[in-house]
Amino acid sequence: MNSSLESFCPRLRPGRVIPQGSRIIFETDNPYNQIVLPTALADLILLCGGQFSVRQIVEKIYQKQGAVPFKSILRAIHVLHQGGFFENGNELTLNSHLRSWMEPRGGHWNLSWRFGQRILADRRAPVAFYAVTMILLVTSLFGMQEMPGHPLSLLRELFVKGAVADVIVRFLICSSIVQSVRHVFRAIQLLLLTGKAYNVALRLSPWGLYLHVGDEATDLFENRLYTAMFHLSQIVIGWAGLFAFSSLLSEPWWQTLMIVNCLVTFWELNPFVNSEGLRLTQALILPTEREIASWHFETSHILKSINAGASRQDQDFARICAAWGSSWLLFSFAVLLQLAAHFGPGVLSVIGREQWIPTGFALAGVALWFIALYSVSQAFVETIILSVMRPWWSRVTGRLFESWRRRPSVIDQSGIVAQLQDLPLFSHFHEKHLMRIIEASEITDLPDRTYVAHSGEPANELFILLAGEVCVTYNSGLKKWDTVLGPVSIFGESALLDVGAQSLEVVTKAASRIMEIPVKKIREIARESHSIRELEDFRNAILVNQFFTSSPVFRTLSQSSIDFLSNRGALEYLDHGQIVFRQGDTGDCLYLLMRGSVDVQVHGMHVSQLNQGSYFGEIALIANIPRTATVCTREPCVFFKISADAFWDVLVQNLDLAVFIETISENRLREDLEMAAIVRPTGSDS
Amino acid sequence: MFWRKKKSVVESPANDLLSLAARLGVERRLQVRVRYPNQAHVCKLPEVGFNGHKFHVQDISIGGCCLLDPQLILGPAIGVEIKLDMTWTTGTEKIDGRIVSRADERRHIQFLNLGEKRQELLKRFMAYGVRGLSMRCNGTSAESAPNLMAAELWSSLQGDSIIVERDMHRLAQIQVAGELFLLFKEAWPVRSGGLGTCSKIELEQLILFLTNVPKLSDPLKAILAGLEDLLFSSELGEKK
Repeated sequence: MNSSLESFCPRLRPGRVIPQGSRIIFETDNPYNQIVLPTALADLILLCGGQFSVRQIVEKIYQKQGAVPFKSILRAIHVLHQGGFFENGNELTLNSHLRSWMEPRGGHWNLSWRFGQRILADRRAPVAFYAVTMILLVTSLFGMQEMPGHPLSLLRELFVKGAVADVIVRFLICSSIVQSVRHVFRAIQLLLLTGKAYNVALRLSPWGLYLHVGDEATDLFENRLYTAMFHLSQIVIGWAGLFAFSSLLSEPWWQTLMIVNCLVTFWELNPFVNSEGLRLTQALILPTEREIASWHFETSHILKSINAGASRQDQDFARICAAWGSSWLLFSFAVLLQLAAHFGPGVLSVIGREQWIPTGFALAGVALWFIALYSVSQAFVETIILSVMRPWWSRVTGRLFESWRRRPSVIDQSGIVAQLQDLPLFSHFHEKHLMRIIEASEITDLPDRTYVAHSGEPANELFILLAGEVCVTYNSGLKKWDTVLGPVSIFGESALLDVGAQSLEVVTKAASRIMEIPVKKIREIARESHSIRELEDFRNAILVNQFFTSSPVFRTLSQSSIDFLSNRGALEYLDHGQIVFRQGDTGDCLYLLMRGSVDVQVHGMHVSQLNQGSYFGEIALIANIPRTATVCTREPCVFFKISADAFWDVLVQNLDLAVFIETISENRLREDLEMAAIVRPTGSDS
Repeated sequence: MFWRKKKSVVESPANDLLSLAARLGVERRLQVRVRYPNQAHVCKLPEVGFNGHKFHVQDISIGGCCLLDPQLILGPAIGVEIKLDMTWTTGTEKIDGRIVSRADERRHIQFLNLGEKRQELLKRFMAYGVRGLSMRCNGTSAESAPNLMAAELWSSLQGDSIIVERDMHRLAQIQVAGELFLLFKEAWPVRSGGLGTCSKIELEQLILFLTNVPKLSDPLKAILAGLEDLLFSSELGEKK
């Protein structure tokens, strides 16, 4: 019987636990099979007797310790599982998200020797960053103009002039120099703009041996212009170096450096791998979409982002991804064709000879060319289908079915009034007001399989299904669900939230009668009939539900968990400039930011800004410590406050959400710590 | 042949949430109370007196303390403001206090004007006690399902641990604030790794740490009493 991680009851093989200082050793009956764990995980080991599920173990640890190191626990379970320490390990099935987090990511063709955790600067200098980056960008433009002709002609010339080994060695040396220069400038830029540079290492990869600086600090950029400038400069920086030193280099070195720069630029523009081009695409995405985008980028690649954007009708987001991706793919086609034109005849002539080694190399080259062509073609077709064909098809089918709508000849208004009065939203309205609503509405009879609402259409009307059946589909790229509604039901509630666009696809499942009420009319009549408060309550309930279903963090929760949190929380409204909580306060609730934006400060120094759709206050709950930062509103805000107990209940039920929130908390706390180290506290927070 | 043994090691990352929180220097409770040991006076924690009479302090926080007053020197009244004599290593100073509650012979006093520097100093002196407060018993050899090769195992999420041994002579291993101490019967604790016996201040820290472990078991109580005796006898020796 297979079970998910939460319901899996881990049962260790017979063995013994040997405590040694800060570690414990678990040893099975076969003493050659051992695992060493930190003592903090002793509870986990001692509870893995098969009686308790992982969820129950986590609950027990929380009850005992007051906090749970989710990531350490889940990582330990994974390592125990992989090492065959569980008797019933074959029962465990990991979901893809947990597996991708637990298992090390493959595909990195490099070795790193890290010798610096981070470098900190005394203060930031954004103006100096701007100046340095502008100089780099302008100089690189001059460097590109140095290009004498076609890069492939240069490559061919190099191979004709020199021995293959000589060319390869020269290529590796040049590539190592270019990469080192890029990373040194990256460190300078990061230090100027953020005051931090992380993970300084010596790296060996197909690009050679070079100094590497991590780009983690780019997450601290708040300005889109700076982010875009940074990534753009990282793509073209080699050309600036070429321009600066071209007069000092002899011809073969100069040519090799030129080729390396072409390759680096081409590779870094590729948005289908984790490149500067991908980061640049992220920087170009609208700020409100960045969180959703980074969620996609972390878990997948640009095609998923296009898909998610297109299905959610986040047109700008999808368009930028699609435009960048397809441009790069077209360019790749051109490069592949040029390669074939330059080297094809020579390679084919080598295959014809009876020399095994050159023939083998030539065949491998041809195979690689075809694999590259196939990959590029596949990605191109997928990009075009997702970004162009799919929205176009939706629009065409929508218009086609629009023509099938027809108004009913006879409308029984009193019957509809009775139906509306059954709905909680309209139960407070007087009959005469309901009659006015009906008069202002459009009532249509629709045949089977007709589109009622498309996602992305302007949301100005509230729909009421008076008769028949409709199927409601929600597809965000990450999550898809559908449900069937019967009479009398409301849908299209997002119109009440002034969000601008429908988020659902609604299709009739049988011949149905639909009533479309303009939201403006409902508001007007609600004000006249003094039912505006009920309308606001209804709107708030929709607001909370929509937050959970659309938030990148919480939308993976089950409906029961969302209902649970919705019932345990309360809405809170704060005006501009008000303090939500102060650093050092006792933390007893989590805040979800439904509307507005807030500033986060540590010892009075601004750390970050959180926007609508974010959450905060989780560090104090997870680590069981006082608030680590002060949060105040930048504009009138609406929060949804969730109590600590309810939050923990949901975390224990959803371990992958717990791991995700713990990871975000770690990053945020690390930021707070660094800020606390830089800024001397002005007073005791005790 | 130990060199053939293959041990896979699972380490908590040094920058996980709880270790990051520990580095922040904030305690889990705003005004955490640390218990004083029964006999010994340890870790430079202040002595508290009133009108020349020194009380036995049961516990202390930066907000107040609990004194044992069997002779009713402070009187039975609640809400009364008093001048306390707090003796630090640098000397005695008077601070204002208010009796906020009374239970049997215990008097709970709220500090009214303990300065910020004194609060910071007190927090430093209390640090090992606070570490002890977050210790929890993971299991004993009698109850645990995988066979635990120790009489008792205690740990905290900050990485401290206490291993009560099943050995006649080696009583326990205590890992606190990154240092590992081995405790032998009727002997001064030894620092692990051949670093010799621990210093007097380290012994005091161990006593304060153990005193504050919640729900102390009988073997640990015996170990604590032994450590207090050691400290007491060493202080007597110094006086002689």
